[in-house]
Amino acid sequence: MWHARTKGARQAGQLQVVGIIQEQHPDRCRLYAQWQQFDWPILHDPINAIGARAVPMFVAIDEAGIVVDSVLSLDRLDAFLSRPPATAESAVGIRPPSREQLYAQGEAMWDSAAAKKSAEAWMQAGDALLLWGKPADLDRAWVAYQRGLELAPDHAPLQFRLGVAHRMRFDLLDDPDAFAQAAAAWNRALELDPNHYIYRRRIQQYGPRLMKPYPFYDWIQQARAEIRARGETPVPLVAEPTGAEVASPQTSWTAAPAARENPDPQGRIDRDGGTLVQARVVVVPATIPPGSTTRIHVILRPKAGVFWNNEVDPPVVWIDLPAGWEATEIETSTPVPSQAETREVRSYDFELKTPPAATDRTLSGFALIYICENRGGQCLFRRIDFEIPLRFVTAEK
Amino acid sequence: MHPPRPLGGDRRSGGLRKGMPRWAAWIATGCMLTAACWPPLSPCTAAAEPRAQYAPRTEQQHPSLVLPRIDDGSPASLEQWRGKKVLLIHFASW
Repeated sequence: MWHARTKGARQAGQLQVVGIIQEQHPDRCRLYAQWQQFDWPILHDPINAIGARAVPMFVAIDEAGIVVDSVLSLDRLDAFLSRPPATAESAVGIRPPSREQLYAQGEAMWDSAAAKKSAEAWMQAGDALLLWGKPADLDRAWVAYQRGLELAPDHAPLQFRLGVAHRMRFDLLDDPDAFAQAAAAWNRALELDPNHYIYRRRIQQYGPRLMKPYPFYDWIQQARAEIRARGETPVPLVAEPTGAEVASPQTSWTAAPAARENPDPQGRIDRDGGTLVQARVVVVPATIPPGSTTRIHVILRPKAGVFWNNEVDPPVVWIDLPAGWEATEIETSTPVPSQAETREVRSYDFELKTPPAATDRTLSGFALIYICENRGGQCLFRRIDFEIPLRFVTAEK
Repeated sequence: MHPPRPLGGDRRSGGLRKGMPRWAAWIATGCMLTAACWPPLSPCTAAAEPRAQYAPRTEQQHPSLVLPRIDDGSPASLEQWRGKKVLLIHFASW
């Protein structure tokens, strides 16, 4: 709506629209902007460096950089546009520093943080490395946030940033454990600041349907189709949304319609043992009250040189559910590709409803997969075992 | 949605040195021009202070910020659009 309403003013050079997005993956917003044909600059703030408590927000700023309306609404847009131009001396554009300059400052901040022994200084050093460094700098950003948390364990913004850095390591550095670490850090950030809308949305993005306000990325398929229909190529995504990220909200619990049979009740299928496929489990939220629901992400990643065999049945995922526990159907957002052999990371999502008296425990599960040791090489049928750690908060806490 | 609490903003002058880029002046005065050192009221030198939340105040300078553009990751700051009216939209694609 704002895009359409400001079109004339933008084209007349009367207005500069600038977006700032509060989300993890900038490529998803690039796809959204391509779909909506946004032609204005959008800046990425994955770590919530500006300290926003909520989105959306619309701020009107005059030619001299002075805020004239901090909560602009559409009905006040024309009044903003018709204001006489500010004539202050400072109404001259200033080029931002280069990425290299900002990165160099980040390096200096690292030394400064070490000397100051301050959580805030470590956070600034981590921010500079994360925003302006290369993917290889993510580990140092993570270390900076960790050092800050050693000084201030209850620092919610540091916990949130730590989660962002972990998730970036999962997406960009193929660290299989980093998604679970991200979820744990975001969980802690929300515990520390339960009224923070941005932190809450991050948990809801990957969490169960009962806690979702809306589906997060259900627009992606429609966007791609419409972009292709225009003759364009959709912006590629670094990480396809998982089932949780496209799931619709629910107002009541819906378990899987019928109990399935264990596909390997006697455990006779050969175990892979982590040789060919790495299995990781992420629980979101990482801790829940007994009786509530949580979302389980089972992520299967072929090891180097190993390929899925797509010429046979897709993987089957099984969970051993104790009495009194319920689960939804297992969904996957990674359909089997048309090529015979592929190497994509596969994610399987489902939700658990826990009993009212549940206590900390670990559930077991497995996936049955067809996998090839190398391209064109021997293909095997294997069982991948995994565990689902479940942690509960109690009223006393 | 939670109503933003006001925080003290700096006035429009800025008190910057002449003859050097504004970003260099900020760095020289101890406050990095990165989102890492935002907002300007919690400068690097006040490292022990908790961060204020984003709450731009009417009739005051919008806080400085430098963030990467989503298209190429290059730095962008609001100051580069001085001389134009700016509509700043905080949003997410979800």
